Amino acid sequence: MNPHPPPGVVFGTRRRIAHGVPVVTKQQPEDEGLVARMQSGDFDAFEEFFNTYKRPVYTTALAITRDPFLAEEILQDCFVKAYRVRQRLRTDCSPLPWLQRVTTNLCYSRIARRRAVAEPLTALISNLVADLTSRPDQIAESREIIEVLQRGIDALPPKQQTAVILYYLHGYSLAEAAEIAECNVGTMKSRLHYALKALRALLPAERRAPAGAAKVSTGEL
Amino acid sequence: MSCRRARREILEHFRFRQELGPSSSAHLEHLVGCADCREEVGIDRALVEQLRRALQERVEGHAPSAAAWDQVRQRTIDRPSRPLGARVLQWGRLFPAAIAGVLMFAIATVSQEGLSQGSQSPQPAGQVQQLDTAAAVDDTPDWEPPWWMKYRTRPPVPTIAGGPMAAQLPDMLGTSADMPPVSGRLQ
Repeated sequence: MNPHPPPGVVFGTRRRIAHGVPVVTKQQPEDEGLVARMQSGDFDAFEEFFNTYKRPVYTTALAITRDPFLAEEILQDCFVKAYRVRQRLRTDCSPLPWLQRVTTNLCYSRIARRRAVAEPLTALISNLVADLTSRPDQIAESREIIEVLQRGIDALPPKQQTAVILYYLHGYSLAEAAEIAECNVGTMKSRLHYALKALRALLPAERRAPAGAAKVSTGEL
Repeated sequence: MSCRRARREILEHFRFRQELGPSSSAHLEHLVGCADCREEVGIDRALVEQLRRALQERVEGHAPSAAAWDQVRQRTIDRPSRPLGARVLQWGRLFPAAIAGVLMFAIATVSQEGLSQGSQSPQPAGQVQQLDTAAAVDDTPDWEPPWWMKYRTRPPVPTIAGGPMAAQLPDMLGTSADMPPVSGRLQ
């Protein structure tokens, strides 16, 4: 085993090194020394740690569960766990990837997978197609398309769902998302690809894009 | 260039914010001349935009409550640390279960040892042939399996040394009377 793990690797060092994930989570100036202070028993540091990272953790939990109360419970569990294992947290890199990983694991262990029910979804798509004939421009950007996508996101397998949330909601880079999900960049790309493919398949062809936006102009490239 | 190759390159550009390099010019040229590909790429781009909106809607207007930190603090910092005695007591509750496990393992090991030793008793040469024929056809085992044997996933291996099966072995194998003595267990 490599005796010098790259910085940015918080937990699961062996696997991560084997994947050769690029180092992406350098410690930010604002959280420099925060973990070290926590480890030395500084309670104020833990509060600061909570306030620094509560937002991204809560956002991930809420995006996965869609339940504010459950998301808050998961937020609390995540930080309680961080406090308990604070002595094992790396001090030379950001703890955020680890927190996000714990959050996603807590989410999927707490909630039963909520598969989209085929019947209402089919009915919803049929309604969309019916509406399309009457008001194509307005309907195409209606809330219902978003609702179809929301159900589609819920129906995604957990790994693809996590990939979509990390990449498209949080805006992490591929390497950062891969680091959080403990996979390599190629796998992360693949998960996103299949997630988009699944979501696109949910929408009928005529409704996949808002009117007027379905064609890319060559000038944009 | 095929539509498939061109779309793959351009879609990656939109999906993963990848830079278009000099090698992408051929793909772009294809896109300029192919309305189907332009539409396909446009649909994909719009899907990504809609997906971002959908995800944003999930979290908009929500934030952790002010009580969240108080709850976390109660479960961590304010939680009274248990004295050593209480922790020992907690582990002490597991002591009877641990003792029971060790005893069961010991009994199982001893029984297994006894069974192995009994089946490996030495046999004088030629004794196999001198066994009574009536006894040879008696299938009744001369030992009672221990109670735990019924919980084994594999049935017990029949022993042949000293048992009734030993007498049948020469017939089964078709060997002559000068066959060396058999002992041990069939594998």
